[in-house]
Amino acid sequence: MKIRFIPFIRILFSFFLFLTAFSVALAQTPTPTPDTSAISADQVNAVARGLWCPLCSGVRLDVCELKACDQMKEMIAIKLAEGASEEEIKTYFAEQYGPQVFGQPPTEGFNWLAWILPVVGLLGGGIFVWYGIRRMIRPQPGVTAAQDAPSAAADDYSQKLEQELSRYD
Amino acid sequence: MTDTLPDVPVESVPATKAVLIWRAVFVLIPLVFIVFLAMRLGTAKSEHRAEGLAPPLEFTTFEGEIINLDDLRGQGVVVNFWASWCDPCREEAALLEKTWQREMENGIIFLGLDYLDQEPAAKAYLVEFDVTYPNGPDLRSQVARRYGIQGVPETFFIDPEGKIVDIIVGPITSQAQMDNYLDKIRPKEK
Repeated sequence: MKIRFIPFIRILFSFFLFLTAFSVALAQTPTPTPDTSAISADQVNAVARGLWCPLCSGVRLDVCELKACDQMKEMIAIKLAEGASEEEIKTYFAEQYGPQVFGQPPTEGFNWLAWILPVVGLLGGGIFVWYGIRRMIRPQPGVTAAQDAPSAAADDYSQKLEQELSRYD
Repeated sequence: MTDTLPDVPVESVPATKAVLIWRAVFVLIPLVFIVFLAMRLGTAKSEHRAEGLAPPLEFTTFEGEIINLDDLRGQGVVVNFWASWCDPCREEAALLEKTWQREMENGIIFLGLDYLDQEPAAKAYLVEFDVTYPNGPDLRSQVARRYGIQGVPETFFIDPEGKIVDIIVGPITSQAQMDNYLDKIRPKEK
């Protein structure tokens, strides 16, 4: 048994040494940037289309020509080459720049107002217009009566107007 | 003598209660919204800034070290906001590093915050200019917002008591200008 056990320890020890040396070598090697040559511009733009330039206002990343945007697109290519999904890439940029890279306010906290207010405004405006139109369409009894029965002053005015006009006949 | 038209009584329709309520609603909603926004803006630019104090600052450097401004009390602190895509930042990068090398033993610390940038490009920039003072990304621009920066580069000179003494928008390109600002934040010798 002893004869077999000693070579086993040797092998185990050699394997352990190899593993240690390999992990040290691996730790010292800087993380290489993945080869992005296989990633096409279309693939990058497909992801970039869903993101917005964090430095501009209202410019989508795929059409942005800033240096900062180019760097973001390079990062998209790197992430795609690493095998990251579109959602993972978007999450990465949101962590870096905040939710403004999505071009829409997040549905949380104070930002809810941005979603709610337009709807409230539309509803409120709609109801206001609807009431206004209804009021205009509905005949108002007081006003109609006044129009049907002109006042004495209006009569007097009509008579004077008739007299004036008759002078020119 | 000209005849004047007699006053024809116009039936004035009194504003109903509903109309008054609607008017109030239409005036009040924007007013409340404006007040709410103003309050939000007020809190965004923290009370610290209003008092001339440097707002809280904590970030993790590219090397993983956590830097907190509170731990640096008693030292003069230079906080520089920069980005690798920013050309004017390049004009001052060498001067910042050179001054840091000179002042690191004199109670002055330089901090760099990388604004809206990508890590590989930022690291390449730091290597290009041999920058050795602590630098890290300003994730989600949280520090930049708290400090209310107008763009990059922008540099804050904070005295040992934590008060912002100078804010320089744009690159600092002359050593004399830099020394002038540093003299205001130098810790007093005991």
